[in-house]
Amino acid sequence: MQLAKVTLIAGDDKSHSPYGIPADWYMATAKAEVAGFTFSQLKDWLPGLVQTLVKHEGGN
Amino acid sequence: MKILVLGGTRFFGKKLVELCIQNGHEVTILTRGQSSNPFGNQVLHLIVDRNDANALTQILDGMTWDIVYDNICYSPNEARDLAKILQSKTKKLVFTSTLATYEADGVIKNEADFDPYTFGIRMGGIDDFTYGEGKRQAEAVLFKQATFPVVAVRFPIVVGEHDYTRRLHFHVEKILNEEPISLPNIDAKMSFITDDEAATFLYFAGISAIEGPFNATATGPISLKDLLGLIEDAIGEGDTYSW
Repeated sequence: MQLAKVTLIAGDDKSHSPYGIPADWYMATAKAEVAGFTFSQLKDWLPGLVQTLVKHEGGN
Repeated sequence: MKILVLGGTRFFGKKLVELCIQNGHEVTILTRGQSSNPFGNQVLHLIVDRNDANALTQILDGMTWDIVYDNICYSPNEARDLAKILQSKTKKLVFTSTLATYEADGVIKNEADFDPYTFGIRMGGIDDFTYGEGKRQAEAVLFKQATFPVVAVRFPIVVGEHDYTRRLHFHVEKILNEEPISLPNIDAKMSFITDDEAATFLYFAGISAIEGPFNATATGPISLKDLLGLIEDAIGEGDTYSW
């Protein structure tokens, strides 16, 4: 099993995660749901997308 | 309906154009001409730099639309010019905005947490602002100055196989190559939307009778720790990561 090597603050520019955020950062969608739109559940598709990207990158 | 899409040749903009075509609408795309038109004769293709207000005015002369989508507006100057040019030319504008209109302060965001109707306008171009501030300013200009209904769709990070920003790919590559990833808070939770769902929401925002700012994201946030765990699990053959 290959594990992520995570450092918290240091690290060179090449290592900086483009998803690096200091605190929770997400949105409520009640307004759109009331307007009639139903959003997907992240859990239903994110693992599959990650697997696809891993395959594209030649891992597993 | 007659639909104009600014920024419709890649990622979720391309999927939006595909949706509009599939639903039988008359679609025009407007690009700088740097990327080819992937839709052939299914769309009318206008080639112009949208930052050249005079050229944009000329090329749109005599045309009208039911819906205009702007996926590539990043500054109040661009928003001002478009609002002026589209006056009496469109029945509605759907503007692609962002989660970055909100501060990353740990509090879940509702639309009212950034109010473009009362936000003080400071004009400028794309280089005068951060990404988030440019989008705030663009929203403020559109909601205060446009003479037609406007929807601002606030997306989080959009992901998909064809994500040209390759930000999710970055994490996959780092772990595969056993290289370090540095981030300030591994427990911070974030949200995502796929390119398909982003396009579906933009389409919905155009054809339904809504206006104003709308958040649009898949349901359920994920911490960076759990996201990295998903990648580790996909690389390994081991147990399913318990997220």
